[in-house]
This record gives sequence, structure tokens and C-alpha cells, in this order.
Amino acid sequence: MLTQKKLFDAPWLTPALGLLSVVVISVSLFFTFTAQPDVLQGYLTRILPIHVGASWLAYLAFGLTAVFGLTYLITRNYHWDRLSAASSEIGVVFIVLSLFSGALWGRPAWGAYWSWGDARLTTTALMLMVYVGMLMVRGMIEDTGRRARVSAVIGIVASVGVPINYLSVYWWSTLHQSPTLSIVERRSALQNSGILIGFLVGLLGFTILYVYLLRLRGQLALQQARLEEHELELELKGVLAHD
Amino acid sequence: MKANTKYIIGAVVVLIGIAVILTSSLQNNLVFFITPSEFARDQEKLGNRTIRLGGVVEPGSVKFNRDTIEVSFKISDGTTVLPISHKGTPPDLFREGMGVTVQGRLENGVFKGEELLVRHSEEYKAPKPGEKLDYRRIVAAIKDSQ
Repeated sequence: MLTQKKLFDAPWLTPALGLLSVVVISVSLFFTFTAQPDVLQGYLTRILPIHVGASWLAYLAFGLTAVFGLTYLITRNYHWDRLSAASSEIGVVFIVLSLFSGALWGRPAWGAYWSWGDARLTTTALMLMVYVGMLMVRGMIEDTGRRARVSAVIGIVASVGVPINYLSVYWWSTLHQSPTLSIVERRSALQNSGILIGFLVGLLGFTILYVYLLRLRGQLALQQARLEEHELELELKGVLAHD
Repeated sequence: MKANTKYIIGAVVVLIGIAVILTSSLQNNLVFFITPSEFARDQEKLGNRTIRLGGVVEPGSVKFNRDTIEVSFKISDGTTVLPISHKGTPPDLFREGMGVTVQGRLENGVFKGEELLVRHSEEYKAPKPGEKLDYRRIVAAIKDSQ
């Protein structure tokens, strides 16, 4: 029988998740692109599932960067540091996708690709800078323990950007509209079944994509750590010196 | 005290600090636009500084001059109505009853817009059965209201 632990370590799980995310996102795109055009925006609304999906994935990745970082500080197990680093890298990729898809939507809908002064846009750019900075700091520190500690602290502090970015459209008057679906407010302003299904299926697909990428990057980081450890051992034994 | 604990305490302090700064002092600086009512109230203080106004395009007020490529309209927040003159083509979604923001300044009693952006809501609707996209009405609102 397949136990939980065995399932989690199964070598086929990671590629299976990757394949599943492709299938689920394809289903989402099918519903999105067969949906009726919006009464106001016409075909523009079809970017919504991608734009919101990418933004959601970035939020999720940055939130979990902090959680994994905190778990590392408590357990001192490098497993969590590797996951935290992987998560922040994924977050950076998808916050860029969010900014890019937002710009593509903004030009025809608002009349501008970008506008400084909008709190949602500005805090998103700020978050990108902070996380790129975090990855740079990681690259600069060679000592594994120190690197893990420092980036865990940065990851925890930087995660404050997630709620600020999400709530910015409520706190300040912005160009960016407020969320279309809100579980807290029990409100949905998405009166287009095709886009709604595409959006919800897309959220699931992007979440699976995150888990896939996290496992993939985490496994790669583990291989890297083992290789570094091995090289260090060889060096200590003086094997490399004889070459 | 272990170094570990120090880091955690430090992180928490910084977190609280950032949260306090953002909720209190930045509240007034991060505002994307002000309403016509706020503009009317603070007009003396604002003078002819460049600001960004936000409101709804008043129905029946849009005039487009094809020769000078100027669009003039009124924006309203329900209580105050303000005339706007903007040089340039408005964005595709610009129409009567739509939310817009205009960056510009007051010149001889008319607000001269330099940047006109459309602010759409979070509502997305499919046309009801039998209802078609009324592109004619949309185009007419922008083009033929001279």
C-alpha cells in the first residue's frame, strides 16, 4: 500500500504535477477563450484568468517564502531554506508575468501600460525589487548557515508586502480596480460564466504549477547542496590538491 | 539570548514599523486622484499645480473637436461637476458614464488635461441572451458628439 511518505517521495509525482498543471491551465484557457466578450471591454477580459492567476501565484510564493524561512529558523533544517529560496525565485518569475500581463491589459483598457502613483502598481514594483534584492543577497553570502539565516529574515520581513499589495486598492484611491471576487466580502462581480469558470480553474492550475515548480527547484537545490558538500569533502581530504 | 531569537525579534520590530508607516503617514501621499469636490474645496491651496482628478464622465457633455484633436467633457463625483479640456485621443474605453482620471492643471478657469486614463470597475458582464455589443453607441459616444 502507498503510504503518505512514500507518495510524497515518489519520483513520478513531480512530473505528474507538471503535466496536471498544463492540463488544468489548458482547460482554464479553453473556457476563457470560448467565453462571451464583455459588454464593456470586449475581448480584453480574456486576459483576466492569466493576470490574476500569475498574481495569485506570486502572492502564494512570497507568503510561503516567509513560512519556509520561519520554519528554517525554528528547525535549523536546510530543507526549509532550500524551499524558501525556491519559492522566492518562483515568486519573482510570476510577479514579472503579473506586471507584464497587467501592462498588456492596461494599455487598451486604461490608456497606459504603466502609471506611477497607483498604489497597486507601485507596491508590486517595490515587491519585485525587494525579492530580486533578496536573491542577490543570497548570491553574495557563501557561508550556508549565514545565507539561510539572513535570507529567512529578509523573506519574513518582505512578506508584509503581500497584504499591503492586496489591500492597496481598498486603502488608497487607485487606478487599479478592486478584486472581482472576494470571499471575505462574499461578493462576485464576474457575471460572465465562461470567464468565471476559466478564472477558478486557472487558480487551481496555477496553484498546481507552483507545487510542481517548488518541488522541481527544491530537488535541484538539494542536488546542488550535495555536490557542494562532496566537493568540500574532497578538498578536505586533499584529493583535489594532488591533481 | 541566542542569535536566532535576536533575529526573530528584530524582524518583528521592522515588520510592525513598516506596517505603521504605511497605514498612517503614506495615506495621503499614495492617493492616485482627488475628486472634483476635494478639488473645489482646496482650490486656493492647490492653485495651478499639476494634479490628477478622478470622476465620472457626465452624460451628454462629451464634445470632440476633430480639427484640433481636443476632447472636452465634464467630470462629476455626484455633487461637483468640473469642465475638462484634453488634447489627444482618449483611450478606447472612454465614454459617457465611465470613470476617468485626468492629470493636468487649471488654466483660465478650465482644467487642461495632459493625461487621460480610464478607470474601469471590477465588474465583468457577458451580454444577456439576445443582447449584442452596442459598438455603435460606444463609438458614437466618442466620435459624433460635436
